[in-house]
Amino acid sequence: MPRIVFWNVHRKDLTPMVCALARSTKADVIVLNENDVPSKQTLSALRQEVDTRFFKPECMSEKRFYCFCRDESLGLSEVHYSSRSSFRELKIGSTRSLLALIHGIDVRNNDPATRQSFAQTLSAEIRIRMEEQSATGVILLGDFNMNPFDAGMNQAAGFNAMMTRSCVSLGKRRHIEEDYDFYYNPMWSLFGDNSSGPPGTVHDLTGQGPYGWSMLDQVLIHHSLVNFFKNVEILTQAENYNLMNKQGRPDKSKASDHFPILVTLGEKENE
Amino acid sequence: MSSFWPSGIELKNIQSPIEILKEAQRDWDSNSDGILNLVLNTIKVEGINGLLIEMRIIVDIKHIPSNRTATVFTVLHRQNSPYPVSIILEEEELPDILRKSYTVSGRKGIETVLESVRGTKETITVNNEWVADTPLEFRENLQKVFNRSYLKSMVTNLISGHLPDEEEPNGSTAEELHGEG
Repeated sequence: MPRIVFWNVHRKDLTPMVCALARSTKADVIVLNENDVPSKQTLSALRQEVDTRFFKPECMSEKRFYCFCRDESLGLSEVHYSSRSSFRELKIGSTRSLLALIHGIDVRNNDPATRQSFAQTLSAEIRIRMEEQSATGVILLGDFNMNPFDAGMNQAAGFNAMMTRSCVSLGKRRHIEEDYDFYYNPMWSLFGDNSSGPPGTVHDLTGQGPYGWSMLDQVLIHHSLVNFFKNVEILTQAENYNLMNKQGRPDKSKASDHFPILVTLGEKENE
Repeated sequence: MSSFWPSGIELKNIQSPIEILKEAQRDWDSNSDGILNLVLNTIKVEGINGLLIEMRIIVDIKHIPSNRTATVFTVLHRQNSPYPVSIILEEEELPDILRKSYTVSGRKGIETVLESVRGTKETITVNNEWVADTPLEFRENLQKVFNRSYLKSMVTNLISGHLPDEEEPNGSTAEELHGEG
């Protein structure tokens, strides 16, 4: 059962916590974003502290994402990159799909219209990459710098990401004479006080966070891969390391201003 | 020809941005012996109100033997109006330390505070060197982009397929230093 951890580490050296996360979650894939630690150093720590099988899948650029894997059968070689995305082949069982790592443009320097335009451009690009790589589907993972309810996330020409599995069962919807594939966004289930974990992945009461909590770190599942999706959770603990402060928010003094997320997939549909 | 004729417009040479890009595509094909290809993907981006506002041509370089691709720049213009046309470089994400040249704002620190206290704001004209009003200007800009060092690095990375072991992270971009979420 492939387990993928994504964490925006806020440009800090959190290597001991990354290793603890890898151990406690039994992660097969670790993706770090906004990272300044050389991949050689992280890889060495993962091999020594967690599992000697960890390796760095082939990539052409490490501007945004640092990816480490311990299961060769998953693939994860980079097949395309741009300044804000990295597309990797992802083999789940016998299905050839893509894992697209995303870092959306930030809230402070870009207005909603610009972020919406970014979502549309990237979404069109995803369609191109799927066709180019003859992939069955794609899983989008990253810091989108948008909430699941922002227009860019759910517009048809944007990421077209819906709240529930049943919402995406039709596969696609039509908008201005074009068909757009649906994505399932399971992050909707993790909002607010009634969820089992924290109410979001980022807490900010300044201009960036009018809601207090935001769910900027997300995973979106292409409708064709929904049956492979098992679970997503927001992590607040890595063995003895507490990633949250006394108020229950991300502890940016000791860890990062983002909580990590853990995505679990099945090797077979409906496993 | 009359001196009232606008400079930079040659009637014999009126081409749309996509036609000029296709010419570049042929050039890359012949110069790389078919190993590298320029791939042009045209997409439409809607405005907030649902009206179509812009056309974007995503320009990728493709390494044909491996099927690996990298986006090198994007060309943007209004729908049904190919000029003015702008080139958005991927290089913009590079931290200043990795750029051969860059410009910074003249106003910083206390000057910006004084400006807000005085209630005055000096207008600054920002020149976007990547906007072209004519095919001739677009052609010139395109030639400049293809000779940028970031694009040459991307080609090298694409062909080699992996980063050398000693490669270190790029560090913070200017945008991130201002507090990216």
